[in-house]
Amino acid sequence: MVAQILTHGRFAFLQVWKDKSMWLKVLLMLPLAEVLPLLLVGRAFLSYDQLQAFLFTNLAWCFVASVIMQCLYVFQSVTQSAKLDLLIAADGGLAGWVVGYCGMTSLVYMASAAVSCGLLGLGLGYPVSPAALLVAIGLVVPAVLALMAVVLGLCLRWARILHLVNSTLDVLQVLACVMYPLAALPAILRPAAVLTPLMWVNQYLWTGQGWTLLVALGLCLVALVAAFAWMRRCVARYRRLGNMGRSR
Amino acid sequence: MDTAIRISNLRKDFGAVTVLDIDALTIEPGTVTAFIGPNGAGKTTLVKLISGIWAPTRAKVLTVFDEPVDQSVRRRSTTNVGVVVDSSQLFGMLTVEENVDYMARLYHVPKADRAERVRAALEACGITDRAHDRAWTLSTGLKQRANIARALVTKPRLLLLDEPTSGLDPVSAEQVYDTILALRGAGITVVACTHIMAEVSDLSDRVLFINHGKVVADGSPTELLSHVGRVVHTIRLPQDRLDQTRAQLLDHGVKRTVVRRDEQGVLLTALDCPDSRVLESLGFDFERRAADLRDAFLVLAGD
Repeated sequence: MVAQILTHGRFAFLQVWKDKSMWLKVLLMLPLAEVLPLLLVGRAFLSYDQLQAFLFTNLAWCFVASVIMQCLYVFQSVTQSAKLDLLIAADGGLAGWVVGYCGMTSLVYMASAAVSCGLLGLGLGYPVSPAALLVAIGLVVPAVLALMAVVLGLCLRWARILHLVNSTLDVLQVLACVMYPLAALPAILRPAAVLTPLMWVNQYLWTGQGWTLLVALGLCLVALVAAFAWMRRCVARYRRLGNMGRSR
Repeated sequence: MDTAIRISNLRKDFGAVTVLDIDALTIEPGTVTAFIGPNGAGKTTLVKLISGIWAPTRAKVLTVFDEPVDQSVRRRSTTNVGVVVDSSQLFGMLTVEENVDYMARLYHVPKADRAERVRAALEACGITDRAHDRAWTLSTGLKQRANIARALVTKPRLLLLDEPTSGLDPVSAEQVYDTILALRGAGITVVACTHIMAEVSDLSDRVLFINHGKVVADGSPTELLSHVGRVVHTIRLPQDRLDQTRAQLLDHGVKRTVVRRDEQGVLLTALDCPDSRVLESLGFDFERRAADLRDAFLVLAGD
């Protein structure tokens, strides 16, 4: 399995490396998009203390959203072509490909986050901690992998679901408490937020409490196991029924 | 010697619909077998079951070179099965060589052998000169050859092709045919799903006609022609005379006819009428020609 993951990661990187527009996006467009909200919104509505936390929660969220959007695009390409059967035949499933592809995509977008961090710290004079950023993003990667496994399973199960998933990113942003700590969230949303690994990572960034990272890690592990079990079940269903949703 | 494919009591249902039901089937190694049949007959389903991509609803025996087809052990199998569907199996941003190398790594081709196997696969498909071009820049025909190279790098003993020349112009198709013939020469067992009768007659040692999920006819291309006889007669007539003409032919023992319509009217092909005098006596203006596999296809498809 490790060899399969590394192979998928290698060739995922090659596809990104060859796409010049991708590097323009990762190294220029995305950092600008990550920095501008801070300049335009953060300064106006957040206090200095909140501003520092928002700097990192915003970077972490942009990282998550970017990886998810990129993976959704590729998932659509794979599930609507003969690549799906190719990958299933080669690996006996899709877990290796999901981990390899999404993992490599995460690494690529970490480069974007690093550029953003550099821009904010060196270019604009904001106090930044690369270590804190790496911890946040590092903990988010397993959660992203779990989410993408769920999404791929949904796609195999119901087909044509990717646009719906795309729009749920807005919900995830709210539940992840990107722009405010958990205490600011309406009570009705807190139970769902508590189950969101990214929320606990952001809580650490908002409050500095180390135990929240342990909760995030635990939730990530649970999410990974459950998500890949779900995806495995959906792959088995696809192979048994020969269709995604109602189409073959 | 191993049997390339052995099937017994194979069935595949999609919901309440049985799309494939084969009692027994064996395919010998080193042969080229064509699966033909109308759309929805079950050809692609059979290919996907043999390759292990889909799971059968029921299978008493489903083996490839005497090894059970089981998705969970596919990766560890020593009997590789290559599957070529269409060029969407290629990753467009990767070069041809990278696409082939990708598969070599996924199928655990030893590192020491990998470069040589990639080179050999590209050479076998006549695409070495385009090895460093991105897949998306290739023509449809070259993409398909690259796709075949991708499947060959794992040194499969069985190669499954699903409509390998679909969408290709005659020149590109001819290049793919040459590749398939070379594979047969190399001892690889080839199974091809196709609608193109030229592929069937020129490439195949054996033809299986599949309709409504069952093998309706099985034999060499020449044996398949026995379903239509040696000659066929084609009569052009207006639409309003079709039923009357069919009745007249039936009275004279011509039971099987095929009807095609075009902008000029109706073309009626009489299939079991070896003697042209029958049609002459009825005063028809007809054209006589040698029967071909397309006629056999139409008869077996129940058209």
